[in-house]
Amino acid sequence: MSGATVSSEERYSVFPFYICLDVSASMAGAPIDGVNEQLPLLRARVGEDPAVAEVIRLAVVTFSDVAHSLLPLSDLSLVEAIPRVSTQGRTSYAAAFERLREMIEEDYLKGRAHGDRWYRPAVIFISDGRPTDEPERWRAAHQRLVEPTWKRRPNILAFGFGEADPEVLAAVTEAKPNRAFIAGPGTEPAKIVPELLTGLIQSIVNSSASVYEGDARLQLPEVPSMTAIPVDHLD
Amino acid sequence: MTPVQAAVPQVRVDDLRIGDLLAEGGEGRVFLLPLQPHLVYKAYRRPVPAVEAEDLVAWLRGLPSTDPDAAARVAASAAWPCAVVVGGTVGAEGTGDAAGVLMPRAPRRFSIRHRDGNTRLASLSYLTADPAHRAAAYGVQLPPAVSRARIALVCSLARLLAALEAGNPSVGHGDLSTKNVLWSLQRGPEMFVIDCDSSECYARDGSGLAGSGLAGSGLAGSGRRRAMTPNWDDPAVARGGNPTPMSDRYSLALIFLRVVGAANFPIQARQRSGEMVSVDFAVPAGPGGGPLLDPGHPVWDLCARGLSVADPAARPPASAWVPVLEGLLEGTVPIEAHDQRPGPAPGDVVIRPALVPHRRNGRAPVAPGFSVLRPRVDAPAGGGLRPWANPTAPGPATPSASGPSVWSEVRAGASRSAGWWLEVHGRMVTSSMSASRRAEGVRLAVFCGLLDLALLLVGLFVVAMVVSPVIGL
Repeated sequence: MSGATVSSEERYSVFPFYICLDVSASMAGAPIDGVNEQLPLLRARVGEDPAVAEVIRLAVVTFSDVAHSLLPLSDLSLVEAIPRVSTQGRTSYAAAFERLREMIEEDYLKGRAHGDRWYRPAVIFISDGRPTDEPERWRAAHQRLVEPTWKRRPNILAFGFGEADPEVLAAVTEAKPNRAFIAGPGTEPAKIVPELLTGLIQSIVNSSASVYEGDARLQLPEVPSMTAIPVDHLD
Repeated sequence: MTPVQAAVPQVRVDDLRIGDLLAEGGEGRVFLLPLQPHLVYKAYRRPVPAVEAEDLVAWLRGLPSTDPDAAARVAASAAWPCAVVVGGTVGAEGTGDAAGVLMPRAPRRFSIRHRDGNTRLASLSYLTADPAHRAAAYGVQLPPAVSRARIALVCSLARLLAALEAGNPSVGHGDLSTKNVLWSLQRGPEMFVIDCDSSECYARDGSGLAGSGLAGSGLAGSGRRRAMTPNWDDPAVARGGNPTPMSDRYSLALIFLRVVGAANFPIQARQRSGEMVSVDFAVPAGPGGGPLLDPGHPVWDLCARGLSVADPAARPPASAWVPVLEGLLEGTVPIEAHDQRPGPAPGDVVIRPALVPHRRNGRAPVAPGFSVLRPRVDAPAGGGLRPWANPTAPGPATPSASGPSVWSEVRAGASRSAGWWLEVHGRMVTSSMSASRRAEGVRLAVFCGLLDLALLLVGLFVVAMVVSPVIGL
């Protein structure tokens, strides 16, 4: 029988989530209002439950012409409030992917220095539009984010509504089944955003439970107004 | 053994006025009852044979005739099913199924008020981490690791489980997890167990009696799945299996480890993979500089045996924990604790003491090379036994994304020091009044005298050098 030592300092591996949110000008009005109403609920639901906060780390990245870290990767129990979001500019997917890659690498190294162990991070990509940067540019940035040789490459879930392009979202999730979702035609963004974030909160809470089983699983959010983007057949 | 038979109240779901949803789980949803605010209604998602719930209701209703003390303890410390609900689509009449059960609602004191003003159930998760982190996160003041309050909480749970074990038949809860075991220090240390409708009655040979008709119905059992919460489950039970009569014993040892140690000690995955587990356990120093919790105390042996996966049958019953924990609180070691040791420990979990420095920044250095479960000793300023803390007391300054402020650290440190001072003096008085511990009392009196003299001199110095010039003396 082999032996293992467990100390009072030993913590569970953490499950990092990066919410990557489109805040381009087209998100103005009901969509961004919905985001600003839901983010405090996300903080409360995850941060105020010690069993969930223990194993979940969450960051919020916003992107338009450029990408910002709205909330650095945090233990939400130690976060008083997530800053409000405002809209501006266009929709640079490249900026989002580049920022995500930088943040994940930095956060991982910082966490490791403090003795944290990570499950593979999850990126929740939310957009209401097509990328406004050149396809070569955002695809190159995306390629760096999902590069197979990069050990920290995240699992990506993508959610689109409004003018979002299903094919682009499928590419963002590397055409993996049940990773990209699109709102049904004509669905009001005012309805979609609260529904999406509510489902997302529940998915994060459910994912935290799987961490305690020693086998973290990314639980898909239930968003009734959205459907999974079908994966193409190979030619 | 004569199974207890007692009339079981049955309520039609149509006769209930169902209020707001209180909680939701895999097995059912729990609703408030506006007309019976002391009760909740748990509505099952899928049909559950009514006879199972009836057995549990009957078990407690019959207990006062054989053991009134145990009945009182269970009634006070557990949300035990008190009526079976039938009707509706899930428990339609004539099917033999229950739509749900009525259970007592956890008293308000088993909740915690966060800094944001909202109250939440006082789950065990608050206690299984560094209290400084919980203070920074939620503004709640919690007793330090290895404090009297934490030991007394576990003792309260052990008394309840001993009452369940002593019943005829005995009963196992089966899922003593963070969300099912609540705690309070408001009226002294207490624990309150919820979700008791998944409990199971056991025959003397350990076989389940679910649905065997204690209430007189005589229907066959259902083989109902009784899930255990991940991270609080019994690793001796195969995944997907139901808890055994030994599972509550494992849970009690695990809860002692986590609540008294104020840490998670994630051991189950290792135990499931067949590894021998060694736990490094930090113990603060007592007034005399030695470990507050003696590394040779029988409680460590109980804990190691209780956590064993190699030999679950050797896990000590809750009744063995009660005198040991009570002795720990009183500063005595019960003789029977030594006499009841059933031979050598299984050995897959081992406890050994080690002295380490006081933890800094919430993390204590871990001595390399140790391969066994060992209590560690921290400096007295960082913890120690102290009077009961109020979990709902306002906490330190509001935290931000950057973590606790220096001021909150200072306040927390002052609070811990004051608690330790009170504890030392309390122990001195208690020991001095006990004939068997008079020598310890004298030693503590000398220590307290020197401590107070030093504090007095520091106070006089501060007054002379700082306060007097300010007020013009």
